[in-house]
Amino acid sequence: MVIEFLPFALVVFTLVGAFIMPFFARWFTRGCIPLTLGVLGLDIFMAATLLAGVMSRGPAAYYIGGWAAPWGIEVRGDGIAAIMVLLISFIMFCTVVYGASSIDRELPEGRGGWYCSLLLLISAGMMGLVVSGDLFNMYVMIEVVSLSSVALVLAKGGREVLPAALKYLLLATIGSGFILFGIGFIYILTGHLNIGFAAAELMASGGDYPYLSWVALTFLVIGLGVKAGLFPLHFWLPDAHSTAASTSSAVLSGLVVKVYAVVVMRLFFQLYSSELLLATDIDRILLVMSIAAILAGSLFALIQKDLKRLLAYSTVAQIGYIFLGISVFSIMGLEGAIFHIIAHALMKSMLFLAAGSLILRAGSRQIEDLQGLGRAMPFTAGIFSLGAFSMIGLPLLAGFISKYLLALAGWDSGNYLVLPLMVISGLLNAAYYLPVIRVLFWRGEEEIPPGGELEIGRVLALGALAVGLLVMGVIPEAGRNFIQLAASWLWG
Amino acid sequence: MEFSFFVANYPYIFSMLLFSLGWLIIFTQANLIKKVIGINIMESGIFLFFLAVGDIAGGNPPIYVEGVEQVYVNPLPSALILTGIVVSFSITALALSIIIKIYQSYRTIYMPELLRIME
Repeated sequence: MVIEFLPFALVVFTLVGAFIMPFFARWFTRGCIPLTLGVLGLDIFMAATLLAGVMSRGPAAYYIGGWAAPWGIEVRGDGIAAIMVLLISFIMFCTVVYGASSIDRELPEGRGGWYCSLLLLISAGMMGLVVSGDLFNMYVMIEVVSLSSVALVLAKGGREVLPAALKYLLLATIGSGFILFGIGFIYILTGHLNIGFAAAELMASGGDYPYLSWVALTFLVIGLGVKAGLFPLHFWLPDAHSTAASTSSAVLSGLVVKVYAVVVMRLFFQLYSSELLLATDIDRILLVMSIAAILAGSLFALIQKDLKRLLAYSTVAQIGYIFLGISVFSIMGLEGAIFHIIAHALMKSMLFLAAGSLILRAGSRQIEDLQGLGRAMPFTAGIFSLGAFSMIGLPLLAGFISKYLLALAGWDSGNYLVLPLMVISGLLNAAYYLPVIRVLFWRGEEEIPPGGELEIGRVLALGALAVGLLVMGVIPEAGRNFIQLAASWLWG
Repeated sequence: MEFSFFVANYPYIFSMLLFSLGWLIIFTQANLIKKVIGINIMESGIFLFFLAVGDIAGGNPPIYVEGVEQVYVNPLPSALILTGIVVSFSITALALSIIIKIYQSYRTIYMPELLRIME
């Protein structure tokens, strides 16, 4: 009984937190960060309860207001929703713990409280998006997420964020326009907005109007591709993710783009079934797009001189991995994609947060200006190197396991290209991450005085993310049961 | 395709045209305000599409009257569009306020000039 209610409760609770935050920001500024941490801490607790309940008792559905499915709004608490909700609240919690010391330094005076409100709003939006079982509700949550991510980019202030944020807003709007149009086509075809009912109707009459269902699919994939930054549609991503404050970048790059990938999974395997999809060529199109994303993202990252832009282009490449897992069209591929969503969320937010510390210390985003900082800030630089090694795919780290799972899934379904692709992309990742690490630990002439890095919040946040990464890498079996179950439920 | 096809489906065709026109304007216009206008044209196309989906020939507004048998238009798409209008309004407001900020700090709202200043 309680388990069904939890996904809805999580979203509403976080949303309430976001809306009372402005009062704190106005009259009780010092209470903002503890309140945010309290809300997110309770979210982690509820999400963990949800995950445990769902895994032992199977997927749960809750209907808002007690109206049953075709009329009421369905909230789904299935495996992928539970995993994503836990991941979102954990990463947000770590980001806020880290931000407790850096928000005041990176943002203009007096914006800390409003920033906390935005962080809670975007977590509520992302949670609402992954638990939503209703197409229009999904659209509304997509808009909540994209508007608050634009605001997160803007929060840093200063003039360089403005064009990046506007570009992001315009492209996000085009993306949501395509998504809404696609939802309209689905509504014409099936007469339902609930995913389960629409799926049943599509199965029953899918062959009657093949063109219309393909058009709907095209619109949805283009819209979500723009939002997720899938390769040819990625051009807003590097600007937005690199100019934002480092806590914003960690959230945007670690979580926001992934949530759209989860929506793609839901639409592919719960709305359209794999038989309907295989009648189209969407799997091959996505495969080509994701291979292009992996190669092009890495090649662009190779020529960047700005550390945050390098990380942003690396995100473009990593989104390719996730879509590669989806495009393989098998349970194993989905498993790899979900594993990579988790692994990449951990390592990319870790990299962005560590890079934020380094950049604050150096006062510049250029990689060459970070020379020798590793000796002054050994902990932060060490965490950065750990994240980079995981990106490259060294064994015992989560990045290796997800590459392994994806290669296995590709081999299993006859896409023999995937294995060499993983090796090549690992080498490319090494080619752009290793020079950064070398610069960090370079022994130059000038001595940088040590100290000034070990603030308790930063150490705890980066340490928690690093522990998560190591646990995922060393004992992947602990989480893989959950992921396998979630993938098989998603497959249907 | 016959002429009657276009006559029967004109709302869909026009909504598609408006939608495509909208995002073409966003991509091709150099003036940032015109890009915002493009957003609104695009969204209008979508709204028109949804209204056309919900319409039934000869349907009345969906207001229930005791004891009268009548054909109603489908109220659901209109309800959805109400939400869509609110969303599009807030996007427009956010975009315009960013453009005001851009003008204050760069003294231009033309994209090529903006890119030149940013170099």
